[in-house]
Amino acid sequence: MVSLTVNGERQVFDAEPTIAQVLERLEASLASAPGAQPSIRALQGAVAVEVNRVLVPRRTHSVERLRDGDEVEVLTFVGGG
Amino acid sequence: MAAQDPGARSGGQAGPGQAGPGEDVLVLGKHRFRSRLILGTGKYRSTEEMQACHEASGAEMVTVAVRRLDKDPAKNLLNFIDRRRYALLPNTAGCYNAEDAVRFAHIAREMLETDLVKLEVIGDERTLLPDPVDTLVAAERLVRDGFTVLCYASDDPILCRRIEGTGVTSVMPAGSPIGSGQGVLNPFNIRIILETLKVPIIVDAGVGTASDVALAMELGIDGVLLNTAVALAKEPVRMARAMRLAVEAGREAYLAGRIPKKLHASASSPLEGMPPWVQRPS
Repeated sequence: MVSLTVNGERQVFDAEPTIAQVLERLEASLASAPGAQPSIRALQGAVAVEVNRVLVPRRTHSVERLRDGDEVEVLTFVGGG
Repeated sequence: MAAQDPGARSGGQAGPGQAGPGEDVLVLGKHRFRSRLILGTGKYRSTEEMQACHEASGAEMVTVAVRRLDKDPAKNLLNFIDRRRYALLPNTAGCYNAEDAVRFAHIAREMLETDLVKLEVIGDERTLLPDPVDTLVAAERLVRDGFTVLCYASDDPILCRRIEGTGVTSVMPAGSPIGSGQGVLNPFNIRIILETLKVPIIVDAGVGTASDVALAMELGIDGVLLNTAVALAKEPVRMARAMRLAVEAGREAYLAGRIPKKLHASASSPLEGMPPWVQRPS
């Protein structure tokens, strides 16, 4: 079992997941969240991921595997000036 | 205020061969904009209202902030911005030191594959005034890392010159504190900045209403970035339209070249040719 912290919450996987797999699970949980609308996509492809405070390039999201205890930050855009 | 020399600055304007005759374009690195208004995406009462404001403002670029992914997809901003129509300008808002701001910029670039960044390093939460030292340090780093840096700064002409020296694409002095609506408090500093710097100057922060924007544009600045004045107006869409008109009016007035201010009057109708019976004051 592999335990990660994703945006401050514990997530458990059977085996070491890729970042893409962590994002897929996140997207699925957001899509089934109360108030979710099918027309509104959760991630819009535009997220950045830091693992243990290091930015991971998008092109390696489907390759890089996460290890037990890794801290994952998933970042996106909000309104601002 | 003394008369402006129209067209004295070429910063932000397309030079010969870059644009068609009569075309007035804001050039920021490899990006070109017909609108000189950059609008924020924060503080709107609803996303629908934000979209309507963007439309009414005529802006072609909007700012966005980097944050943790929210569990509520309705808060994921990119669902509500047509990226074919609006360029995104990610900011480093919320960063209080150079290191964090640089990190935010890299995160934004990874997300959007854009080289644009609005660099802002804030000194403290109460004033939201820029930290000049860390702003300068972060600007150097981001230019070196290949970003097109639009740098928020205080309206200090020497600081702005130092920031320009780092190789940023635009320097964006604050008119007054963020969200304060006080307008351009020191137009004299803005004029010195315009005289001294060659890069496009965008007044960022502090404008409250259309006249603030028109006055700023009449000084000869290249653009205005604003958010709160529209988002928190009683009728935001109407204010967005007012801001578009103010930017255009101010720009046109600057290019037209205003008359100098004089102490005494100057008649618009001829003084000659008056019938002899007209009595003049002695």
